[in-house]
Amino acid sequence: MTDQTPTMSPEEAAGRAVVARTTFEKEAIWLPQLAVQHWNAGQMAIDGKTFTDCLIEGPAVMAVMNGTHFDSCAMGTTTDVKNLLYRPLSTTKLAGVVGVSSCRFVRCRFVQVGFTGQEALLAELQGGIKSMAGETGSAEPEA
Amino acid sequence: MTEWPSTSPASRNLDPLATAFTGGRFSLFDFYRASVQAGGGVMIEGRSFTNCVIEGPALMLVLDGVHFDSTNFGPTGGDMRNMLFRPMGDVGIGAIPVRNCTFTGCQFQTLGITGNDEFLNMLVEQVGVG
Repeated sequence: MTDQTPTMSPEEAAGRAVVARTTFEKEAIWLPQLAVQHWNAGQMAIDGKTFTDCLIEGPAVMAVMNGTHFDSCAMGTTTDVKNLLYRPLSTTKLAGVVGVSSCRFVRCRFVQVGFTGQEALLAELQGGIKSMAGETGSAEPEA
Repeated sequence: MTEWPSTSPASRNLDPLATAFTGGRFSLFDFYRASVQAGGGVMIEGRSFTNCVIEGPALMLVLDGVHFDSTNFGPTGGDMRNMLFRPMGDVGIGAIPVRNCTFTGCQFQTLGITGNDEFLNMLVEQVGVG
């Protein structure tokens, strides 16, 4: 009798392939799905990836961790950048958010994505976020 | 909004426009996306969830008329604040808005919660800090 190696479903295999990638270019990324794919692969944060010219979609709130940078990104269609930001009540653990560490986002567009992190990070995002409203003149906040 | 396939079979079997859900396990972001695309509006409203397991990752924006009865908010590590977030603006972009809904006997997994200060303080007081 031979041992039967558990087989992975095509969906799970596709998810593992995504997790193994380090670069994404000109792609639409559904952030909650990317998070679940990482969790299923035993990784609790999205780490060490570069996203270039990508559309990053929610609904999701990203916990911006060490080493993550945003370069010429459009963070959301709101005139008040504070609408994108959440201050955690805890300083130790963050539940429900998508942890992103040592990742780089270059010329990406974020839709329905909020951001959280340590106080210094929140201040930096507040000061340096480039909103799409500034480019297009749109003044419509998202629900 | 891009059309994304549901992340789990359980989520695919949901009727996103139903008003009552009993049992089952689904991800909140799958449910929200399906509800919006089916014409259910920009928030989850007027629903009742009984004995459901509701998963993230997601931040639930708790608006008026939402009630939690015998709800297991998930592994908070002994401190409810580990899953609470205060919005810095007036509009909670990225969170999933919920209004006039009841959660009875539900279990939350990898969900965070946001809302006004009064609600967040009430949760900390009632659910507690370990």
